[in-house]
Amino acid sequence: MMMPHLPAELVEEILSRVPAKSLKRLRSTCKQWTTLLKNRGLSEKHFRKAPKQSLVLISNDYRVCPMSINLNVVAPSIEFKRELSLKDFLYSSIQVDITTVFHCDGLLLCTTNDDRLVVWNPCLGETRWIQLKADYEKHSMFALGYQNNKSCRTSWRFCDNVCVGYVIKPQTGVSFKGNTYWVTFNERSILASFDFTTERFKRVYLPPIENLDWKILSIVREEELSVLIQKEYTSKMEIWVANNIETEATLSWKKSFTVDIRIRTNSHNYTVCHSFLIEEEKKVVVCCNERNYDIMIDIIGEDDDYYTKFPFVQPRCWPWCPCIFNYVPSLVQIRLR
Amino acid sequence: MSSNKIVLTSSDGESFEVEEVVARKLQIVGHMLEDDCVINEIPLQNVTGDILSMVIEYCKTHVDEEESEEAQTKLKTWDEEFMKKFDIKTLLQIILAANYLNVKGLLDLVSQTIADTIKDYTPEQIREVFGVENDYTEEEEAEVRKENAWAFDEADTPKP
Repeated sequence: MMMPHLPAELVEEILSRVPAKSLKRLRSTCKQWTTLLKNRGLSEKHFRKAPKQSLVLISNDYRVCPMSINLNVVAPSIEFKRELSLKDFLYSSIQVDITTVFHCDGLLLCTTNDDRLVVWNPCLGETRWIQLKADYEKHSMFALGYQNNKSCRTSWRFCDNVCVGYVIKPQTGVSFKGNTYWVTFNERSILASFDFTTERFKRVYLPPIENLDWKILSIVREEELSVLIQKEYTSKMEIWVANNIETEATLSWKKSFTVDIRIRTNSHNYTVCHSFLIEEEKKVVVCCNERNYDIMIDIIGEDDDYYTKFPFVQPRCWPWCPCIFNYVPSLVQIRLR
Repeated sequence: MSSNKIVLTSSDGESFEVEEVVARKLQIVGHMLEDDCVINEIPLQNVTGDILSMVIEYCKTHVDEEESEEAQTKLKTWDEEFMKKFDIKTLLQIILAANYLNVKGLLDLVSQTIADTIKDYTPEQIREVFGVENDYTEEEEAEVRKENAWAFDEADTPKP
């Protein structure tokens, strides 16, 4: 079948609407396409127009791997895929050991085992290594965001030594529409939110919470902020979501569902959730839990239908707990041309 | 609203008599009418009759775009059903026509439809559709595919 020939502008119009993951796969079409996908104009258009197709990533054992979760079978199954390859910029044959990952609009901000920091777009295969100041604190926390809700940036800025005013719980930060949200230690019902436009922290209220309840954040389809509240001395986990997050400090939280992890936390046993994802329609939570020093992935549904555990081998990079998160690949560029 | 009739003639000589409001949805026609108000027959060189008839069908349906949510939903459903009728080759002809005739709404709709259609294609199928040559050597292609391995999964299994 002889196809009509399209001019470049129409090819770009079409490609700007294909999800980034599919484009990644289609890079091997021809060299011209590989170049086109790194084109800045396409990158900006793509961010506005393409459907956001997310995949689940897990950072574990110094690597970041896609993970598939099948909830359509009686006993849900999980499968780990081949890792995303992050090569050292000096020794390109060496895989870098990643300790923590922060995700913002298709870009990953990773800390490495040798105390370096890198911004990485796995979809474009671009990296930018950031030189840390000599006096940086070993336990510094890093986040990535953007100003004025525009992620197609024209320049990079580093805001360091920002005065927080809260004790932030490590590895709890999530990025939503450019700003970052962390769970705090000292104020039980407050999230600390860093606004990248004003470069200031602000307070965001959580749903009703008891003093010792454990809480952790997750982003749902890049549209909603969700919080998992683990009720102390019970085996219940509550999932709450809020979607009016752009507007005000007072979020309208609504309880989505509650699950029972069946194991009550007491002086002999404990379960701590470190990261989670939700499937809102099926009312299922997939969480990465630490239970009496073991790490496992638990899949639990509201009606108990999905209850499944997947124990992990003790990860090599202890004390870095595996972390699962939704990742939406994008063509957002790191290097400025 | 004026009920003037305008005759649009395709490259293969097929003529369509349409209301002026419908013809104005084709911005190329809108501009011509602004330049010279007395035309009532417009030759359109770059589009054949079969494709032009589909563009006109789209414009007739979208002639008065109501704001109400109900009307919008109805139009959206119509758009989806309309697009289902076409194979990839026809979609490519429609996008060319929508671009030439400057029908913004149709251009957006058909671009998204093509994007949704090709997202699960294999690189081989893509090359055929877009008429591009594979300029990778076998080794280079294997290397690119290896690097992109994570983007392949069951959901992406190429559809026949």
